[in-house]
Amino acid sequence: MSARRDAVGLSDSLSSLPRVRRGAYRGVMHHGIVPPYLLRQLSELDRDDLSAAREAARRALTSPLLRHAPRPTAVPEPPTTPVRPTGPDRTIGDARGTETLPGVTVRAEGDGPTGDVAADEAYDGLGATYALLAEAFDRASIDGAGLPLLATVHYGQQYDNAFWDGEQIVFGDGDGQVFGRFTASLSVIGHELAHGVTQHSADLVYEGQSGALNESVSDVFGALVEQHARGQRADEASWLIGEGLFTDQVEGTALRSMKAPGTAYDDDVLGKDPQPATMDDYVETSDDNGGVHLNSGIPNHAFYLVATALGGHAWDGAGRIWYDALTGELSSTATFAEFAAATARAAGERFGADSAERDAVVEAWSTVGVPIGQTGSVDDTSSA
Amino acid sequence: MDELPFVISVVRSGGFAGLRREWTIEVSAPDDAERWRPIVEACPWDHVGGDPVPDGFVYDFRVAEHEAVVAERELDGPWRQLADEVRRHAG
Repeated sequence: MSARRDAVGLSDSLSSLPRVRRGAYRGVMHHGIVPPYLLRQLSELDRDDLSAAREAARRALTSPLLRHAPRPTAVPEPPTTPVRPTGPDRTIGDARGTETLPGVTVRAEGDGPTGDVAADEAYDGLGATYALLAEAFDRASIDGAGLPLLATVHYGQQYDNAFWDGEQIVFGDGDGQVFGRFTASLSVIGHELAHGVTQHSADLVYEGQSGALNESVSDVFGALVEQHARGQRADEASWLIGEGLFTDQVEGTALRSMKAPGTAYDDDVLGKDPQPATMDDYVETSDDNGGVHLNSGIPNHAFYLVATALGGHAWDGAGRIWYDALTGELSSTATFAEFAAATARAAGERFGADSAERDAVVEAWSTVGVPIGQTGSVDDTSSA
Repeated sequence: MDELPFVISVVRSGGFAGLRREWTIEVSAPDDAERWRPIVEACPWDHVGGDPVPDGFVYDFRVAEHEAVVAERELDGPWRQLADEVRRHAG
């Protein structure tokens, strides 16, 4: 067995196969866990049989997470006044292996390179994402109002993830065996900042189909950031998400493929990329907030089909349509069908009801098994 | 958890990669059960939830009749201990 397999462990079953089950927590949306006063009480317990609870409470009380105020996720973002893009305002923090956010500032806007590869990749990636939003969509930062961009690198120990916490991006260094550092792929940085764009626009609920759309929009803009930075046309692009994240011990080129969902990796430990490309293979699962990283393959592939049908730079045609749909009158609980209809409407309004762009959109969604009906798509595009 | 053996499982899904990992232990010896019960019972099984953050991990805990889905942001205190202990013993 290789070192990696030893590290993963025999009893540690690692599988990308989703289970089919409904979660027990649905409908129960308490915010927060044990209140601090109860933790304090537990932490002072003097009973040996409850020592585990005592120690856990003591750890929780000293956890940096407790110092976060509860996030007002149910409260809409305050209205912002759109401005013209005038340049990014970036800050990179270093958590130095802890889980404290945002960490120590290591690079602010205008500073030269730090020499730390993760910090500099994050800085450059935020800049590349800002540039796409500004140059392709005339959008000033993720909120359209010039919001400063913040990212933290070196989060946690061997942390195998990157995420958007509602206010900033967080990057782990990876475990070094399956994953390397998460800043290594520009598409990942663009993906995470795009979660910020979605939060400040359609605010797609992160569960089920609307959650898969949230994920897909992030993959779409992550891919566009990379293509824009490289000056690539649709037919030159890899359409891979997270290329270069895996170490060379993994049989795989990337985390996801928009060109061919389900083919990004096929590894004896990780299993095979489980993404579907069409509705025929839609995955029903309670894992992963209802398979948001799986079923995103379907709208991802629709975008790829539109972009390659139109040719040229994907951000000019397909990207513009997706951006218009996301920032238009899209419901936060949109289904695939509703989003498909929104993209057809957006294509009709921007390029014309009989345009090649709108035809490509309708054709692409049909190919992935989300046919666009008459409702809200055909008859009200004549205003273009 | 009154009857032996019982199984404790922790499933982590989500994250940017969307990879699913599962750690499982079976508790069969009475001494082991005595050690695990307070760790399990310290968790607020009936008070979980919270909104997920994009690309955050999701943890699904199951012990006997208990089940809870906990977002990474909420994985602290007793949940974190339970996850860490199961991972350590399963790994």
